[in-house]
Formats: sequence, C-alpha cells, structure tokens
Amino acid sequence: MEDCLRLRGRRAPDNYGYSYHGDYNQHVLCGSAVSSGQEPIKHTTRPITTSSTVIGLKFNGGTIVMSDTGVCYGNMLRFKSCERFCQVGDRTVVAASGEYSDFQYLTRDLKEMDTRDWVQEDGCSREPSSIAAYLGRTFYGQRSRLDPYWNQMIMAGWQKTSNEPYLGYIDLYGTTFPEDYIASGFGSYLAIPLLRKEYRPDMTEDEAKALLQKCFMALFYRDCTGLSTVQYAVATSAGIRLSDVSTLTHKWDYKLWLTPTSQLPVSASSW
Amino acid sequence: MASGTLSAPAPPFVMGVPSAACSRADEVGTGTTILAVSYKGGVVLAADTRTSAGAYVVNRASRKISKVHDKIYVCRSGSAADTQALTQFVKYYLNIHSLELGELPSVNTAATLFQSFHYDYKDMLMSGLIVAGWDGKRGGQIYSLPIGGSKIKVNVTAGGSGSVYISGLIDALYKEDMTKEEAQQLALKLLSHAMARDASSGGMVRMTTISEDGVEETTFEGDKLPTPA
Repeated sequence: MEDCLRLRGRRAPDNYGYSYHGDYNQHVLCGSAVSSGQEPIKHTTRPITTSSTVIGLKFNGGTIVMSDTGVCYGNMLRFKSCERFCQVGDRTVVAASGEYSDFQYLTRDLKEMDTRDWVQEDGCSREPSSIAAYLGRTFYGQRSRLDPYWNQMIMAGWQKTSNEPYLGYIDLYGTTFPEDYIASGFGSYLAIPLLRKEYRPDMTEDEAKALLQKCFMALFYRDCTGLSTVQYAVATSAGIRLSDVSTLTHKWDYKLWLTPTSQLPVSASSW
Repeated sequence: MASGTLSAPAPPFVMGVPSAACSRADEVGTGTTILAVSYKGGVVLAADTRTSAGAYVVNRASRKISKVHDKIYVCRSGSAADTQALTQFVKYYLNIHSLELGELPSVNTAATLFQSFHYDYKDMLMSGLIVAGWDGKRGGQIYSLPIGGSKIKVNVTAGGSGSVYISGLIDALYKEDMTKEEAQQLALKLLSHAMARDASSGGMVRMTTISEDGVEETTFEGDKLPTPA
C-alpha cells in the first residue's frame, strides 16, 4: 500500500520533473504505460474541472472573500454546489479559482501542514502572510518544473502580530502579493474597476459584502461560467466565519428589453 | 482486436472529453453512458453495455459497473484499460484496508483511493468514474470523479459521452428522497434517452441497487427498453 501512496501528490518530487526509469516495482504496482523518454512529467497541462472568479477585499476590522459555488467541465456547468474555501489554522482562509483537482490537492497539503503545526504544541500559530509565502513558494517550485498547480488563490486572514486584516494573491506562476482588494478569473476584468471606484478602507463588513454582491451580480450577467449562488468567508480577530450559500437576485425587467421587437420605438435597435 | 484497420474519422468526443486528449482514435474505450441516482435509503447505479473502438462495437454486452467491495461499486467511463486497471488496484488496497479495519470500508475511502490515482497520474489516464455505495456511517453516497482528479459528492450524476444528452433531463426529473422503484425507473428512463442519441452508447441497461438491505443487479435487454432506441 505504501509504495503507491508515498508518491501521492506529484510523482517523484526529487526527480525535478523527469520521468522515472529505475523502479520496476513502481511500474508493476502503478501499472502505468510510462513515458519512457526523458520528458518532463506534466500534470495539469490544461485545466479540466475549473472554477471561476474569487474576489476579496479588506474592510474596517477584517477581510471578506466571496466566490460562487460552481465547478465547470469545459463549457458545461457540471457541478453547481461545490465549496471553494479551505480554512488553514485558526485565522486564515483560502479560496481558489482554476483547476478544482489541484485545489483539492492543495487543501490536503495545507491541512497536513496545519496538523504538523498543531502537534508541535508550542503555542505558535502561523500568520496568513506566512501561509501565503509558503503557498507562493510551492506554486513557484511547481511552475519551475513546468508542471503548475493551475490555480489563482485569494487568501484572507487576520495578522496577529500587527493586529490587522490580511489579503493576499497567489497564482499558478508563483506570483505572490498582498493587496487591499483583489480578484481572480473574470473578476479581474469586471470587478476590479467596480472596486476601484467604490472601495474605501473604512468600510463596514455589511458595506463590503454589499459591494462584493454587486460585483458578483455583474459577473453573473457577463461571465458565461458564473452562477448566481455565492458563498463568502470573513476573517476577523475573532477567527474565520464561513457563510451559507445564498442566491443573488438579478434584474431583467428593463422596459426596453421587455418590449416586443415589433413595438420598439424607431430609435431603438432591433437586434 | 485489430487496431488501425478502421479508417473511420476520430470521434469528436470520447466519454465527453475532446478527442485531442485521447491517445488514439481507435483505442478501446467505454464510449458510454453511466449514471448514479440516490434515493431514500440507497443508491442506484446504471450503465449501458457498449464498448467501442472508433466506430466498431467491440463488446455489446460489457459490464461497466464493477464491484470494489461488498457495498461499493464503481461505474467506469473512458479508456477500458485504464479503468479496469484502476478498479483492480483499488479493489486490492480496499480489501486489505477493510481487513485491517475489521469492518466494511466507507464509500468515501474508496472514492478517495480512486481520486489519488486519478490525480497522481492525470497526464496518463483517461478515466471518468462514479463511485457509489452504502455504508453505516453516511448511508447511500455517490461521488463523481471526473478526469483530472477531483472528487465531488453529489446526489445524482451522469458520466460518459452520453451524459451530455441527459443533463437537462436529470435537472427536470430528479427529486430527493424518491423510493427505490422511482429511482430505478428514473435511471432506466435517463439511460434510454442517452442511448437513443449517443452513438457510442447502446446495447442493454445494467442496473445495480445498493442499500442497507444488500445489493441487487438487474439487466434490461436492448429491445425491452422504454424509449425506442
């Protein structure tokens, strides 16, 4: 049992991406028609099951991160109610867009890191910036093996040492940086301009949530893979709080849109 | 099975995946419709029986629902070779695990084992699975394991090339907490519709129902299906 499961995650991490020749046992047990040439092992060369936008922003007293609950399979909205958040430690939560299987793997990896920290029983707990740095290095290492984790992660947390909220971004290239508001996927095109206009550092949690809902409404209208069911997580000094799934209301009842084409005023377009 | 002698064009989909992702157009695959439906007290797994290689039907009575443990079965779609090999491995490990545990394994464990293989070998495998069964901890469960290595718990799901034709029908017809008979009839109806439209699905319908009371297998012959094929 161990032989196959020890290679869980990425095969032969110490081979720096080159395929494994020597171990006959591995071939027998894992039964793979191995790429016998010297090709780099590629995992996620193109994402298959993908999730869409995540948006995070800091408010007065915490950070809020929101995403929808969908996982797509190419162009098909295949899974409609998936959770895309992972809590790490007592004051950090990570949400991911991109390849869902890589997110599920990284969730396992982060939870294992969490367990290793917990068994130390040393009274120390990781800061969100530390977890972001860890993830950033992990992503960079994988991308350097031409075998990326195909995700953009938004990380929200509470920095205990400086007593302030934290919001960070890590992506498949290993880019890592903190920000006041950030979005991944389609949101980086549609939501960021809205946030630039309306974000204020002294917002309350409710104002921040309303702004995010506004962004996700725009995304539901304009992103093919966007859903109207959303979920959010809030990080404050009290810890992490994950909300229930809620449905956004949307608006279609503009008079001009509902007028039958034959009755449109002359000035209106009939396309 | 002679390969490369058929000059039919490559199918656009092999099990719902663009054929650019396939190794060869005439590889033996379970071009297929598989599905699982949960009802109050258990799960129903159903599949068609056509195995195809390009345009040729290699086996018209294949068994795509395989036993992984007493009350855990898997519906296989994708490469016949890959899914058979994976099922053998997981069956082996799950058996040992169950002996060491001293009780029946959980469906989640089986699904996670499959997921492990899917994820670690994602660049080599073409396998889309549905793991379903019954255990004492969580009752009837269905886990969708699409290509790529994710594992998603669902109440109803379909897989394989024929699944695209019945996505809407599932949305319209599925209800929670059906009776066993309702679930079986729904599964049969869904499969028949998929087989009617998908060239890579056909033959008979095999159905496996798993609950606390046990496992029952039924087969519906090709000419006795509810919708004209």
